[in-house]
Amino acid sequence: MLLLIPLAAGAELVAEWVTEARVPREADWRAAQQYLRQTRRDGDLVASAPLWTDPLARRYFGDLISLADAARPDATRYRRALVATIRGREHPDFQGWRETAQQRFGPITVRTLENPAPAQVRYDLIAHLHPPDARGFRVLGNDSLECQWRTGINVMGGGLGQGALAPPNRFTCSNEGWNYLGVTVIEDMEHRGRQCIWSHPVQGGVMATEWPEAQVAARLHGHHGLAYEAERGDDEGHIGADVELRALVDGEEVGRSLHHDGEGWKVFDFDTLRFANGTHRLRIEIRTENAGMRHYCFEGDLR
Amino acid sequence: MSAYVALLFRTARHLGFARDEGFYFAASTSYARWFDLLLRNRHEALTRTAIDQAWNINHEHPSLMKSLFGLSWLFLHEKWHLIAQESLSFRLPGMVMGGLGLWLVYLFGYRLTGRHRVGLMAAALLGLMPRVFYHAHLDCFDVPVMTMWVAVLYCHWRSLDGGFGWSLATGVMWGLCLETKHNAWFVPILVVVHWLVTRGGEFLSASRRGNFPLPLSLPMMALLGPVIFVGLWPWMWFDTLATPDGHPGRFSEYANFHLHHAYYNMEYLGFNWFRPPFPRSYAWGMIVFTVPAITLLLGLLGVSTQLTALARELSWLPSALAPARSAWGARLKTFADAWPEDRRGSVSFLLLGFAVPLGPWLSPKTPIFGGTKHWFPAYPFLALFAGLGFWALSRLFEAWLGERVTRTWLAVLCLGAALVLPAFSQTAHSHPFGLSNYTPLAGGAPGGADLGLNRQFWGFTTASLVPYFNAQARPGASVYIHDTTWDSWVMMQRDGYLRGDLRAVWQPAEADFSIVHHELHMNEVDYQNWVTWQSPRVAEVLTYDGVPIVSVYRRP
Repeated sequence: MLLLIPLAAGAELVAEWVTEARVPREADWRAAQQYLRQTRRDGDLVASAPLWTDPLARRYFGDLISLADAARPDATRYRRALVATIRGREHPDFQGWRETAQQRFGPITVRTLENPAPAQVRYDLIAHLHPPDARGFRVLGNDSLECQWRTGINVMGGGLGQGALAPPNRFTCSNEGWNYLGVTVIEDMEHRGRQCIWSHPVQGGVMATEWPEAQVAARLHGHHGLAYEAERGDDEGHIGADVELRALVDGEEVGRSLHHDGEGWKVFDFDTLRFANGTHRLRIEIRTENAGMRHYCFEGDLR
Repeated sequence: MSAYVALLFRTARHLGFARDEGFYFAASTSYARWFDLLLRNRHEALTRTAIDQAWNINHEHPSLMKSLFGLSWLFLHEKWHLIAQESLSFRLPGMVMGGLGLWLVYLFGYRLTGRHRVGLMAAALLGLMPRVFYHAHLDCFDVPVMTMWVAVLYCHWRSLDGGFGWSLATGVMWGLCLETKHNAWFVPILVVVHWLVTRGGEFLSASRRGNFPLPLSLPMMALLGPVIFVGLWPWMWFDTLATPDGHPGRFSEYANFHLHHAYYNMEYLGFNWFRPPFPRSYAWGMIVFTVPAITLLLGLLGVSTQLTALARELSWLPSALAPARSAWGARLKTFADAWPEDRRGSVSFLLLGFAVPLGPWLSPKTPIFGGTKHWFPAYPFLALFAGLGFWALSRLFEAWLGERVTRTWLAVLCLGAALVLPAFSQTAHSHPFGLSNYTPLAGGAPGGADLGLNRQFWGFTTASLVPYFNAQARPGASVYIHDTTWDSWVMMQRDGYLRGDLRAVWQPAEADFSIVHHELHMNEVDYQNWVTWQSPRVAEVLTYDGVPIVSVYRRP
């Protein structure tokens, strides 16, 4: 006892110093930045691990990380990722990827990871969400009102509980600020940012987005979800209505996916093989029984 | 005590202002102006109109500390110019309460055992808890109510030896404690439970003879507590229990605010908890992750050395447990004896002093948004057990030293200093990121981030970016200040720390710079910036031990 407690005090002191000594310095991040600039090839994803280091990656490697990369739906389309890693942690997006190289910069290790089965994306719905590639509709009964494409709108709002902001370029579908189709970033249930197409459903109707000349491949792969504060429910545990996504190619349904609150950033994957290797009219319809607080968003690609 | 206050005063200079501090700056100023009016025109000040006008602001919390903050500001800053920095004048009463808390703990430890070393070690370890050190700087109520909690319990403990004076003091202190923060409502529970577990048997047998020997403190508390609570809080002078038209009065409003408080958000073990059920391990987990391990270890040792005394106090325990009791006693007697036989039930009293403030978190419905500050009243008692643990250890040390050294006291002092060193080092290193600090048991701040523990709250870390803004911002630049309140932002300017031409704005799109305080549930503000700037690139990241605390976006 006489020795044990002073030894424990000494161990606690040493543990604190070791933790502080292992913190990466500015120079380490800068050195990693130089290496990434030299090593990165077009299409490579630059990221960091663990997840909480993400702001540091966007600080030091910001010119190598686009908005689409930072708010990616998943990492399946990337062939290679360069991951600045500290504390020996993994990034959940790269589980099962093969490490082909690593380079140390003090406590930072830049790992080169290769995707064993990268997807070949032929057509990305977000990249084509603008005229003439896309059109938007608010459908109520037999009335189909075409949404108007607007650009350079001031981005308004922000702050805790404000949710996803409306982007500067978007299809506006009514005078209601929330009723638009546009590329925003939502916070998913894991608190990660996901770039997606805002498509808040309307009561008793359908929000539809069309890509008249989509280059269809074997599958329509995507995700859908709601902004965190809308999906998590209120303090009493009340949640919102399910939201249905329905995909049609040339008017023929290829799949539908129901999103239930709590499912988070949910993947969908529809077989479009019978339309593959041609351009077709792709239509995504969003509907719900009760549109209140349905801050809904989806993304997808044809691969 | 004064050294601690001086240390707080010196280190508060550039410690950012928490959200709640911003609210209390405004409330305290309003109350201070009423006091000023009271001095100049008592008749006018005592009208309902004047009182409601001044005391309406922030009336969900009692007024004692806010009154002291305001009076300190009014006299020490505004009138007598003794404190140049305005924020320090508001914060000073909170710091003094922090210092008083350490002094009371020292006194308690000394009176318990007759040993200075117990009190000194307990006070040192309390003051060197990183979270306590952070909160002790603020014009808030959490450290003051910790001090008041000790003050009430100390008075009551002294009263258990008999004597009208300490009972009277208990009643007065409880009234002041109620006027400090609502934690005080748990004191009567503690007093009653302690009375029952230590003297329940006597009470039963006496009651059969028609006697009801209750501690005198209880009626004193019942008598004086409400009088002081209402008397020192002008807002409560009108419509106290009911309005003239029969609606619930102001006391009911106050009680309902706290009984039905919003839950807010808090990250713990990687999950953002925002509604019940909350994890029952929260309080214990946070104690382990934020209180230096040496304090916990000495506290555990202190408890274990007092088990014999505890068994003696709990004489009503079934006799079947008697062999176990004596077995404990035989094993633990080596380390330390309890203080001489006392009828106060001191060990159980200390245990309750620690346990009762933590009691609310046995319920999964109790909000956890306050991190550790809501159970601060438990910490002085943890520290007292740590003092007792040190006493036991130092006695072993003295026995081991035997005749080998002549100045035993110096050797014990060195041992004490060595044991305090980890707590001192962590506390020194935690400043000014007290809420981001985690102990080596958690792996420090990076370990806390790995574990998914809350990074900060209240938006006070903006102050650490002031040198950046002062250097980088063009004249008249605007800053989206996220979780920082306007009052807190402006106070940095009134203190002359932040450039006066920089403007706070409320949406990223209006800003030249936009900040995000990193808390899990606030990630959405990051993404709002991404959409606003159409880029995820940040210009600066404020870190603590490599962990992101605040990101700064800059208009491209």
